Amino acid sequence: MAEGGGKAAAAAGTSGGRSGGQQIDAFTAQEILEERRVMCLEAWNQYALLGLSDGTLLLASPRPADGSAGSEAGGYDSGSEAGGRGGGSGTPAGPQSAQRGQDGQPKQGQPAQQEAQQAQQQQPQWAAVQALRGFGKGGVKQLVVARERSMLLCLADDGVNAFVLAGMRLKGQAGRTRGASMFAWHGGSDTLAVAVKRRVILFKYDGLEFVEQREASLPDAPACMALAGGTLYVGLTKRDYVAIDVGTGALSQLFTTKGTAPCMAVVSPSEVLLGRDSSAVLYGGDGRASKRGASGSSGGKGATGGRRRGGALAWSAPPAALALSAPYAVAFSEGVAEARLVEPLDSADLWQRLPLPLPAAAASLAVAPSAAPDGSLFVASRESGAVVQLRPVSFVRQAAQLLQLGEHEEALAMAALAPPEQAAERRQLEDLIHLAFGQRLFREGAYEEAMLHFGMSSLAGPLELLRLFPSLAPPKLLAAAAADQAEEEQAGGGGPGAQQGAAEAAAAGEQAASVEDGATSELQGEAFVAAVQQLMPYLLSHRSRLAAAAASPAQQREQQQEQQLEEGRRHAGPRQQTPAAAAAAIEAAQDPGPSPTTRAVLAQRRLQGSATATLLDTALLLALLALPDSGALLRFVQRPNCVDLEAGEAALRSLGRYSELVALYQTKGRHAAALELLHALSQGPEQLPAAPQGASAELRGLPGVWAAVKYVCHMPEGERDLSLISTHAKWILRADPDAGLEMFSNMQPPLPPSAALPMLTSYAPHLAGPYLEGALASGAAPPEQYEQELARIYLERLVGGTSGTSGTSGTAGGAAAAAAAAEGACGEGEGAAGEAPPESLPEYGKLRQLILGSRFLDYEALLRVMPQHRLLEVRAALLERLGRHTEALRILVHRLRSAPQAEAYCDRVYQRRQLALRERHRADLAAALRRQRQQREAAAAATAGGAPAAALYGCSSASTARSLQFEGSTAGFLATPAAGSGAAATKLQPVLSSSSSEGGADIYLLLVQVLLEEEDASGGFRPVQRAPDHAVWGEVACLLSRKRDAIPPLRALGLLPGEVALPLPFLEGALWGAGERRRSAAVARSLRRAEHVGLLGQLADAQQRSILLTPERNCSICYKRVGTAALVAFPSGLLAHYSCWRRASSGTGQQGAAGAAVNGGSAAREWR
Amino acid sequence: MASRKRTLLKVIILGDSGVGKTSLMNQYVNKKFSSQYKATIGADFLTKEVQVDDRLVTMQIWDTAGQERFQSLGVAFYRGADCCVLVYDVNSAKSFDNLENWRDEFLIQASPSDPDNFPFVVLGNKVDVEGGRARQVSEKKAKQWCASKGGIPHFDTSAKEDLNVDDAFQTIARNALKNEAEEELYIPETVDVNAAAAPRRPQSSCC
Repeated sequence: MAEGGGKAAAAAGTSGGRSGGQQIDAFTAQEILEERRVMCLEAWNQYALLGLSDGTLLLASPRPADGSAGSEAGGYDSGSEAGGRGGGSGTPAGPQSAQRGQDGQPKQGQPAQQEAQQAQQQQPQWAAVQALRGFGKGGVKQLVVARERSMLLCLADDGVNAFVLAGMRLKGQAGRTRGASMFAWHGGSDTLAVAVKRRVILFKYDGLEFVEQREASLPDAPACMALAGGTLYVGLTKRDYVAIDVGTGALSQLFTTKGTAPCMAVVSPSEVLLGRDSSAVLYGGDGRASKRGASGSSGGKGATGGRRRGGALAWSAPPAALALSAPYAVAFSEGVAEARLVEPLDSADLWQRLPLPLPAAAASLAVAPSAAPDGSLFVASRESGAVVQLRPVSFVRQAAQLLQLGEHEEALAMAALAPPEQAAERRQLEDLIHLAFGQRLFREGAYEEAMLHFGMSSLAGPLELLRLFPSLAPPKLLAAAAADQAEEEQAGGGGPGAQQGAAEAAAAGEQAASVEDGATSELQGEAFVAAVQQLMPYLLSHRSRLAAAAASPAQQREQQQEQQLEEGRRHAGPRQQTPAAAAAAIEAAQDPGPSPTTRAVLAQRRLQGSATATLLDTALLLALLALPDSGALLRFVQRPNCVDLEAGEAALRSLGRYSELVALYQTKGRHAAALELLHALSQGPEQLPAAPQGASAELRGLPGVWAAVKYVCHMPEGERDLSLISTHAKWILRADPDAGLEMFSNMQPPLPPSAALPMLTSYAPHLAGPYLEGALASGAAPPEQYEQELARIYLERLVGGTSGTSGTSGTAGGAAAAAAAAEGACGEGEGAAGEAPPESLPEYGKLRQLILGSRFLDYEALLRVMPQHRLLEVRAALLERLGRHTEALRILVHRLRSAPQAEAYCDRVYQRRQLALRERHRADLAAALRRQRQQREAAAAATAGGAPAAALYGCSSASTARSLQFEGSTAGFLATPAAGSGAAATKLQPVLSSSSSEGGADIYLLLVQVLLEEEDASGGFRPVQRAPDHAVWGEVACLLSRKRDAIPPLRALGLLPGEVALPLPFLEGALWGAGERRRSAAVARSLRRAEHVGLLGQLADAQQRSILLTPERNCSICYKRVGTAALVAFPSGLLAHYSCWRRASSGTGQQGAAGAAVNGGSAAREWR
Repeated sequence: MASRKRTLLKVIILGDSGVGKTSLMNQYVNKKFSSQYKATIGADFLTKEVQVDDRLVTMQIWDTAGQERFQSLGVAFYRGADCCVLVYDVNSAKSFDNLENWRDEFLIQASPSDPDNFPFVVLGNKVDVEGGRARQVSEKKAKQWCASKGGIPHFDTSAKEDLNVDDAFQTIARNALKNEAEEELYIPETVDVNAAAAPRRPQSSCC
């Protein structure tokens, strides 16, 4: 058996772990004491309890001299494990570091050694601090601490005794246990099992005493025993294991081990590890093999070790004793302690072999049944008396080892075991593990998993991610960002911890870089696309974080400014601040909660300077380029971004993604380049180095022109460059005049016409007019300035059009296909007739309309440049606006021979004058009213002195109001001199009858006059002397008859040549019209009078009142009866003789006024 | 082995702008709440360790932008999610009506292998507002909708008052894990004691 074990051990030695597990420094061994009398061991708090053969209980603890004894129990050590590694030359540290070297991960080797040296000096010295003599009669055979009860159970010759812990007072005794060989305690159920010879007695501790439950007999003497749940496991000296049900005492056989001796260790209250051959099996509380290893935590696939199905652990040699310090089980055999995981943390098996001066026989080995709070195990050799402490290496350090071994999942699981006190360390380490694990997964092609792990590591910043994708990160940007980051870390890293973290991060980064350099270069093809797809969200999230970080300091600063402002107000007022600071503070105060947009803008501005942001955005662009085009890239570049122009430009250009490039240029303000590119895309895409792809492929020809137009229109006002616009306006206008026009008219805010016009006139003169029309209509061009300009353009077009069009058409040649419709029409006309009549151009009508409608034109100036014998209608219009009607009418009548136009002309003039007159009349009336009111107010102010009768006032005011009315109307009448026809001066149409030279009607007379003129040889005009020909006469007659209302007939008659027959229709119409007017005027007058009389009646009715005159009533002045004498009535109702009143009122003027009024009011007195 | 033990769960939070996605996540992970609204730009994630039954898993929670203008690259985030959390504001009927769109959008973009059984969880947030008087979407209505979509779990939550947030995310984690378990291949136990040298880490089979 022993030989077999030896072979197995040798095999393990040569193969470096036969189960393929990883070797790890889980424990360090330290010999703490030498005590030859040692019988048994137990750990309690920071003490090691030693039971000696002379019955003494020895308490040993680390010497407090180094100051760490107190904390030793709770905290995991930082040094002593390293002491084991550095000091113990026989430890596996050597082979391990060799392994590491092979793995190419020499990281941390140097610092670890240094630490080890330091730790060696700090290694605590143990000493016996207390010795309790005679603690156990005849030698302390076994010690167990019942932690739930704070008891120490001690087996001595007189049986199992329980002591109160700390005080070491005897607390209880288990009866009938004298001469017992061993016992087992189960804390959860307070069960004590004591083996006496071949019997097992089961007790229940009820808090006061041990109550015997039952007894079971064993087939053989027990070698070891342990309680798990409701089962007592007993290892017999013949290497058999049996299980005894605590409840029933029933015994069942388990198995026989081929090892040197049966051994067992309690794993948990319900699990026990039984040594079987050179392995160990987990048994549960039900007396059966535990399923934990198989079914454990991961639902069927957790026990990836395979080896451990059914809960078995394999040692390299059959163990003599077992102990447990979670998560490891330690097997002790001759000269060696071997630690293995009870259950794999993730998938890999971890193990450690520590050479210890231990005997081969189980009987001479004393192992503490439980681990100290810090996980330390104590073991002693009864032969040599050496007491050895196995101190666990802190989980964080173990995880670090695993990381170095490349067992990342185990490392993570191990790190998760770390106590909360080490959270910071753990986090740092986990960052490293995640980073390394991510890199490994990435190399293995598990991009998603890799990214998940990168995402969990705070060390995996954008830089680290992008180092994996060299093609996404231009080296220059990467270097800049790295420098940036380093600077930031220097500035931010205050404490040594932070610096250390930074150093580690840098080391990790370097490692990553070196790994990447060593790797077979970057991914290609589909794998690359898949990886980039996974990378994308993380890049975006880093971007979001950068943006958020950039946004928050802005807020802080604003808050500071606000505070400054507050303080300034409080202490000294804002005057003491510097103006700039005050302004900034006020600005900040005015904008307490910036909208998301402004915040975004602020943040964006801050980001522009960040090398990391540049790197990120450039990488995003390159990544999006690598992915299938979904339009996302275009949207990305259209929004504010920090893409490095140079890198982005090169990439986009080489792939022909010109639309995106234009957008990039746009966000970067490189408008010249953008427009140049659009020009090329539209006009000559085949000349571009790479064929346009994506959206830009459709920009050939007109779409490109419109894209350029859109671009120019959306250019921010501050970045407009007139020369640039001018350059591009040239080709845009040439390619598509409509688009060009659209561009000039749709810019927001509009381009000033002073800038736009020169371009248009030089590149597309025919568009200057339409542009200016639009600009005038939209208000972009002030009419007072540009109407003249427009008229000039029209005129030039009309005048120069005939001479210049031929030139234009000659140069335009075949390219005139895209010419404007107007020009096309013009060209056709030209082609047909040789010379186009300018009247056929649209500008002709527009110019006329402009002249007739404008309020700002300088007609004289226009007239001066007007050609003498052309554009007659326009000329007539000009003359019309200048008031030179005779000339205008002569042109219309004699040159154009267009009587209807002439008549329309007259109508216009007439109506305009009518309008003017009406307005003047209205203004006059308003002025008169105003005057009246002022007078009345003045009068009221003057009479406010003390008129006694307020009632009188209402009466007089009514009459003034009426008189005003009359005055007003008479004033109207008077203002219109009733010249010519007296009948015209009716009240109903006072204004229409006006016939002053400006009154309007004479325009018709002028027309008649002109119609009746004839041109003499010299070009002048003279009135016809003879009878005009019939046609002319008929025209005149019709005109006169149509306009009979407007024309004073007598004056018209005077104009007609003497020899013509009477224009009957006209006279007839005039007479009839006059008759009608008279009749209607009479009717109106009658109605007015009737109305007036009615009103007077109503007034009288309203004012009448009654006074009762009885014979008894007296005169209020002479106090005699009134009788039948003439009387007056006062408003108060008193009466008086007329004569008395006369007498009295002659005294004072005031009285007189009152009397008169009363007299007026007495018109309606009533006699009874 | 078809799949190694997953300890990382990817969870996506979707919903209209302003329903409280970021607040829920912050409340759950950082136990912090701020009533100041700040539109999420792009997307970001937080991680949180969570104990589900006897397993410790790490949840990676992706908070996405609800505003459309920040969403152009949303597709990239949906891929590989283990669970999708749909959030609406109980005081806004529109945000509830849009859940349908969000769900469809997610299923289209993420294209999970079994869309009918993909785990969703619906959270009706802001139940604290005006003591619930402003509520426009009744719990009954929401639950009806959830039932019609194959029994999606529904929670009334308040990120502000930390109401139901932990429970909701616990359910999220559990459902995400359930999804994973169903996807796994069952491997019969082997008894080969010396097979431990076999490749411990399988190639990931998922896309």
